[in-house]
Amino acid sequence: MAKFGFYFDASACSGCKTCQIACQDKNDLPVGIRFRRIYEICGATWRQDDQNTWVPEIAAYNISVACNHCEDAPCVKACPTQAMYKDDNGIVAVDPKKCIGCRYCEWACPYGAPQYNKKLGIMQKCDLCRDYLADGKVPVCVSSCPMRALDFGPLDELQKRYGNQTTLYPLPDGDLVGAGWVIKSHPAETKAKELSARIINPEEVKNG
Amino acid sequence: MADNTLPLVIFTLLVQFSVGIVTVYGLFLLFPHFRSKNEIPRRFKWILIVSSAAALVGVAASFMHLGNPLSSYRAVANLGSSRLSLEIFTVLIYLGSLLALTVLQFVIPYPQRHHHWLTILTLIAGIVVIYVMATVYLLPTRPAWNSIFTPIGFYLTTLLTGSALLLLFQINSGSWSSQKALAIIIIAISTLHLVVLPFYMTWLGEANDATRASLEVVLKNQLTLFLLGIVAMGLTASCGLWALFSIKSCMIKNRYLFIPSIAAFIFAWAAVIIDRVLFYLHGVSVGGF
Repeated sequence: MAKFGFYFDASACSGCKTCQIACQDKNDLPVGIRFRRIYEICGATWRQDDQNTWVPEIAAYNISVACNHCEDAPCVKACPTQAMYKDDNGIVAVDPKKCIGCRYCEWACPYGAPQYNKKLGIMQKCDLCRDYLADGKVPVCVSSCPMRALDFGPLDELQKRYGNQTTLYPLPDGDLVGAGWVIKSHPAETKAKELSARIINPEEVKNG
Repeated sequence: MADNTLPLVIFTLLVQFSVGIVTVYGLFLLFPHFRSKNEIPRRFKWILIVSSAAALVGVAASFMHLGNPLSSYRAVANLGSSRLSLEIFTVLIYLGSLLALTVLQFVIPYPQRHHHWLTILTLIAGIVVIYVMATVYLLPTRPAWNSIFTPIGFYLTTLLTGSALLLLFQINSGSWSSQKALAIIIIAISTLHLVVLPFYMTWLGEANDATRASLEVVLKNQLTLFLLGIVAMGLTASCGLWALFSIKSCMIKNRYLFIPSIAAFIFAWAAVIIDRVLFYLHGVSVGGF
């Protein structure tokens, strides 16, 4: 079976959060649970130019992150009950009957993908809209993106079309877990590294 | 601190406390020159009761961090790849062995050869539990935890809390040599805690962005707690020293040992609780996610 994945174009993303809201709406998620989150990355400083004028230096962009359905999924390895599993399409999903809500997968995932549902006492996460896929549709985050910053398809096709990049500052190295997605960088990425840019909306994206 | 962290603080500390008691007890049992002849049957069975109670309360607390504790029997289903499964499995083996040893101390009078064997088995199981418990936190996605400092910290906590309790039990009836040995262990472990700390902080500052973010959590957001932890650990070492001098100056009047032993126990616990809370607070994920 083909392994599916997402493509994310950081240079096109405006940070409108339509993908996040569409996902929450489709999955009927309560406040505090986001299968897809928009991380706002920003770094800034002041620099003195050659005319001794202080000018601001800024690097800012957005990263839309859901589960990357990693090849070597650390959440699947970590799960003590085998509630977290990979299906034939490489989709990492949670069996709610087996999950005990220990949240160890949350620690193991470098992308914060597994989300704890306090009311149900279990973990939930993006399953690539499996029901939509069965109907021949694409995941709701992809179809809702007004900037066309998200794409979806078999991972090998995405890689042929967009390349093999899986890391974007300050995301962890995609090779760490065999992240099943493809990224297009933002032009400000190098500047963001120089400025040690950080996530500036940690409270907004926090699970809980 | 996340909602589920407090039960984990209680679970890890109480299981380590329990293993620490068994470890120090086991060392005394195996190396008899540290104790008088009748020392073990008189008091050590009560020490095992405390150890068993600590382990049972710790395991009970671990259920509190689960969202769905009724299905917790499934938690040993992934022994092949989940360190958490392995931790639960080894804790159960340790607990079974400890409870058997405790019951045996009351049923069959000491000394019997099987006491020794069961003590050694429980001791080994305890040492394995602490190691496996540390590996649960050796996650590449949490760089501040993913280092040799995690198992070192867990073993030091184990020995410190265990020896602090045993010194308490030795106040009125312990031999001079065992009291002295315990005071020296307390001084050594608490000093080692303080010696390791700068190395850990230096490593956090140098390793990568995530560890630097962890260092920032400790030194900016939690500075007061961090300093209180250092003070508590320093006071533990000082009380150990005080106890050591009390033993030397008055071998018969053990009441002089009472205050430093109690103080060492309280400060040791204050220090390890602060240390463990900080441990969970500063475990920043790679990329800050």
